[in-house]
Amino acid sequence: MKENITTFLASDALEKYMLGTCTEAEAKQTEHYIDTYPEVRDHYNSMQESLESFAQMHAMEAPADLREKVLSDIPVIKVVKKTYWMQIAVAASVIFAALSVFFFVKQNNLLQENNTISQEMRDLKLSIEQNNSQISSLQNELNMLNNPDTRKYVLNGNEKARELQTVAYINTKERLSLINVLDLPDLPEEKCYQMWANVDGEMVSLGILEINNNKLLNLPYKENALSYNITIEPKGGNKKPTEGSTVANIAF
Amino acid sequence: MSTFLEAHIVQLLGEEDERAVGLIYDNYADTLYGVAYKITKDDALAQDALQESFVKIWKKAASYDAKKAKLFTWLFRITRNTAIDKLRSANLRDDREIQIDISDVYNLGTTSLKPEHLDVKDHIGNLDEKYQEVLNALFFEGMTHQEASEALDVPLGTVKSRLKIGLRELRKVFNCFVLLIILVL
Repeated sequence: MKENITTFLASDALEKYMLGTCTEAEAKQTEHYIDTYPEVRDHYNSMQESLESFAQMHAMEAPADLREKVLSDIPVIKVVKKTYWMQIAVAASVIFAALSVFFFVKQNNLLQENNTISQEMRDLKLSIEQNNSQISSLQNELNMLNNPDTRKYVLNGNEKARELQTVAYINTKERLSLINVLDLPDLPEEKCYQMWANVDGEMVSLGILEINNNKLLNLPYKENALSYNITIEPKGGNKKPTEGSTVANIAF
Repeated sequence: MSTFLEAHIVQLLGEEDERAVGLIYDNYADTLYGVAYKITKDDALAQDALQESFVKIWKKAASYDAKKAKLFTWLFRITRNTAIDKLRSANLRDDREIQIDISDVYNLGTTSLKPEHLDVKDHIGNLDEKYQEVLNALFFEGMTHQEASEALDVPLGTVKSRLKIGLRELRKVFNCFVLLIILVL
């Protein structure tokens, strides 16, 4: 192997390779030696340095205007443009991506805001309708209460329910009846207050009574009612009033 | 050439960055122009050769392989081959009698040499003329070993051995020069 290296170094293969005057096959063989043997590589590197030194010894100052001529011959615009356009493209992509994200977020926010406002508007509309309905209802109640044909009847409890206090408003012309339950004494859980109308001697149920915080309750109007009665009945109400359970009544 | 600068230029070449050309020109143009002139022995041809060499350098930038050759070796090859082609296409070579005049080494561009090269140049005198003849013939005259053998009237084996010894001696001279600079500094 050592002999091979010596023989190789003794040949002019390295010199020809350095000057680029060897054939392709010779170049491959020389590269193999350079890559394989550090001794050959060192020799090659040393030769290259010698070549550079030798060439430097013959350096001549190039004409002053040659630099400009040389550089103007170099088609660098392509690279400059490539870099320039690449930079613009990258910048544009970044801006586009940022704007896309911005508008996406903005649109989502606007949609959310729009939904919220729509919901608020629906709620407000509903609230207004409810208020109008209440106003209309109150107006009707007020009209009825102010109507000269409306009669006011106070039902006070007897000894069984002294605290019971209700006021009934009845308009026979308009066939309307309202009741305001002011106070009802407490009852056991299995009991309730039930209202009746005596129509031609028959007791007709008008419903279960509950305290209603000064709100007027509509009562089914009964033609030819002779009296209104309140009885204590089992929870849920009764079909017929229990005998002896009347706590209040008023006769017309 | 500093290893750092060379590595930087090589990196720019690999990236096809045009700044590489400017750096190569600023750091190698005088040496390469000297090479081109030594081969063509004509100002106009040397300038043409250098211009064309730089275009080739730029076009071949991507193919440069730092593992196969130092940057200067690669630049030298391109400039040398371009200058030889220029000379041949100008039909000058046919009429030219090969002159292996060692005085070329000393006389050409003496006044235009850069100061840093003058010091190096002073040391070329330490290299025996017979080695310089061979190096000139092979490196600058574009001769093959056989042509150099005939032109210098020495056996082919002698050309080869003088080339080897010349390069080795040149290395010694250069090393001494570097050592001297280090000592002075």
